[in-house]
Amino acid sequence: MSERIIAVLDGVDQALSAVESLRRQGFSRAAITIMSAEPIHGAPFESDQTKSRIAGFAIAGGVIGAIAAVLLTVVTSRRVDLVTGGMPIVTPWAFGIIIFELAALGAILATLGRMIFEARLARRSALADYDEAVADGSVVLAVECSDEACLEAAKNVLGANLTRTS
Amino acid sequence: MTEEAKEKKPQWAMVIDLDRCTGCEACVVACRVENNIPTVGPEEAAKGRSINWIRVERYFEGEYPDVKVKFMPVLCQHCEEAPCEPVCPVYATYRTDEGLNAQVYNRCVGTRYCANNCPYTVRFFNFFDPVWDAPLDKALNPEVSVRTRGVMEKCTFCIQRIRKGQEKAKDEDREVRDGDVVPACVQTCQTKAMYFGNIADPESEVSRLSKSNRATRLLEELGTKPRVIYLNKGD
Amino acid sequence: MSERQPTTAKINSDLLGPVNKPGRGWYATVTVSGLVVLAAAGALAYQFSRGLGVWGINRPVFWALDITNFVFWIGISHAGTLISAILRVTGAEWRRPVTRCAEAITVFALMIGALFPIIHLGRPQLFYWLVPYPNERGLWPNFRSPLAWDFFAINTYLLGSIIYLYLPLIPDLALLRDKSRGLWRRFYGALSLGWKGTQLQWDRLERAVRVMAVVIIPVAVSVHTIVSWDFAMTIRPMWHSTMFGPYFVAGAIFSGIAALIIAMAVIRRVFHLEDYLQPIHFNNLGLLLLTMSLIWFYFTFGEYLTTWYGNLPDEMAVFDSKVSGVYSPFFWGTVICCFAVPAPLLAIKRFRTIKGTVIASMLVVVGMWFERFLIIVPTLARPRFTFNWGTYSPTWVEIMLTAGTFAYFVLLYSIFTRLFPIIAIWEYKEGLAVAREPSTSSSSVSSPLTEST
Repeated sequence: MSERIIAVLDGVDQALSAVESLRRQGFSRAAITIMSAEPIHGAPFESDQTKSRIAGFAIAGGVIGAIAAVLLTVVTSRRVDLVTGGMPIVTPWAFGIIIFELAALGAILATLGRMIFEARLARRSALADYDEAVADGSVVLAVECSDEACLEAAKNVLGANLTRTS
Repeated sequence: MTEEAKEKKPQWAMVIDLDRCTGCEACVVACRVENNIPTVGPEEAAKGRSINWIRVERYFEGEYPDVKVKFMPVLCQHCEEAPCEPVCPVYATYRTDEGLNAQVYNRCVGTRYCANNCPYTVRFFNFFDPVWDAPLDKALNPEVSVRTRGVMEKCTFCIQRIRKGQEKAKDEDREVRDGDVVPACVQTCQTKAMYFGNIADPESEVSRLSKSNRATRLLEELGTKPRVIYLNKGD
Repeated sequence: MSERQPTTAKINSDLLGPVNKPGRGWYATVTVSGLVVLAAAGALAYQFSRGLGVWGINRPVFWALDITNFVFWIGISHAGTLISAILRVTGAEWRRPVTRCAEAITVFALMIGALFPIIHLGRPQLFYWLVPYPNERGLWPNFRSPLAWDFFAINTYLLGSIIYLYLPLIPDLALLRDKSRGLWRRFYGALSLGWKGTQLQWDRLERAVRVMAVVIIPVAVSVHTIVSWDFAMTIRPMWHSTMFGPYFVAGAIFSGIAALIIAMAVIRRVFHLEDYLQPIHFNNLGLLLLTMSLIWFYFTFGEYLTTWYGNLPDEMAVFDSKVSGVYSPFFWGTVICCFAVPAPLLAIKRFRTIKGTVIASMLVVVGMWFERFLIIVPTLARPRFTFNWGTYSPTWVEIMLTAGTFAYFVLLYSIFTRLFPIIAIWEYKEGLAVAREPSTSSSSVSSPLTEST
């Protein structure tokens, strides 16, 4: 049984001190989610729980795009097999441009896809724990608990700011 | 296709003797009739929309009264390394193994890029649906397709006559020789200024004439290797 | 904390204002531009039904305003993604209110530019024959053709630009979702993909935007280079030039910045965003515009000097028609519009105001349109054999279509401002936070939260 406690705090400073208290109570970083209307710099939280592989995926996407372009240009040109302007059927100078463009396309699509995956977007329960107070500049904390003692502790720290449990 | 078979394919070429050309433009008329070239009318022609697969360019030298006129029939040069071919995104124009610069009307989407890259300005665009003034509309050549609006067209070296000549030679079980294939312009030339044949055959007339010291090719410096050779004593 | 920090509520209401209540000017703009677009669509329908003969193109001028507009709008599209990516990569703080205006210009200008390769075809209904897919014709595109390169480059750039516009828009879409009701809420909810602003999401978003910025810069450069290669790959005099790539890219960024300055000035005035788009932004962009004006002049001078000095007859025929012949009014007009007036105007600090930069930008946009025209038509009108020399004058259809492109751009841009905040709200707020604590960066800060894992 895991439950979440959601609290709305007025600003970044309050939120950060609440988080600090929670940490002193023994909450792990993974258990605390901070939601805000703009990125909070200097508070590396969940972001370094897992390593981002977006850049790696971009490179891999680029490589896949380039390979696809090589196959597309070489195979189809060989199949059509028509001479134009005395150029060879496989024309590396010209095909290089297609290879570049498809490499970039692969990198772009891989970046988008990986970013959506890593940021846990476009999922059915994406908006669980959310509170619209974020839109007005508040910072929302979601604390995950697995037992009653933990729930109590969290409620103690967050006190008046508590809005709901789920 | 094997290399041997390719070698046996005829390589078509034309020779035009400028010293014999009188500028009568009979070739232009013959080409129109043979190849179903639409008429566009004087107004459109003045706008630069006329289609003439072959034209006689006139150049004047000197001042009146000491004027000299030079005539130069210009048609698709069927370049061995044609600039028009690689720029086409849909392979509507390419080089056949008989050395023709082919134009496939059905593939053409009408980018007009080929025409822009042709240094001889011998490619033509169908700006409107083709029309023929009566009674020309009843006199279309059934062996040549009529082109639709929006496609490029140009001289084919009378491909329909080439095919006919090849079939005749095949029926008689022999190689194609001089006289089997005569394009409309060559056939009609009053002064016999034009020759057509297989330049890969060292015995042919075009082969012999192409080695003349009067032989020259248009814009040779561009490296397009034209298959139309001009004879000119260079006065 | 600085003395005058706007509150979240004020920023939200200011920047969401255009979305919530666009005002009378917005409706007027949409109506007028919409009517012009309709008229242009009528002209296009007429062209499709009659054939390309309703344009002024002829033999030898097979391309004219169609390709002029194509090159011009693809050039304008370099405003956005390229400039915003460069500003992001270099971490220029003043970029924050500018990036979204710029990225939106890219997407719409590119859409309009990419229309022309389709509608200028002799058989536009067959444009999809350039798409590589297994087909019943048994034919694939000819990858040696610069037009096939165009197809790949433009589509990559368009898709990349849309994604690059979309990624930083996601948090603002979430804000709109929270602030709207009913169908709009579902619309923004779907687009925002369930964004809730966790620090993990922020981190991944910023990473992705950084990666995208790095990828999109070479793509943007390649796009206009390939557009220039449509010309440079030919063997036509004054087209076959090795420096056409950088020349076109420089011209593209040049006209793109000018378009951006105009768009920003209009947005500032219409939506009362004086607090956000400040003179400093126009000053900085004005300096960029000045730089590009000098680079444009350098390229143009280099291009024409080498042609003139080389004195090759075929090239000189084109050169003379541009510099002293029939096209000379356009040529000298271009020099005046792109260099002679804007360069001094932008160089003098007193004139580098909002008004000054907007005047310079308008001249540049007009000048660059004619520069594109000058690159295309004179070369085509002067083939190597003088017997075939031609002329060109546009018909009402081409003029209508050209007017339609501008109206269509205004229309699309207006609709965009109605649907989405034209200034990135979260980036602006982040900028305020950064300004409060200039030294904050995740590596250097010592916070009780960073110690153990």
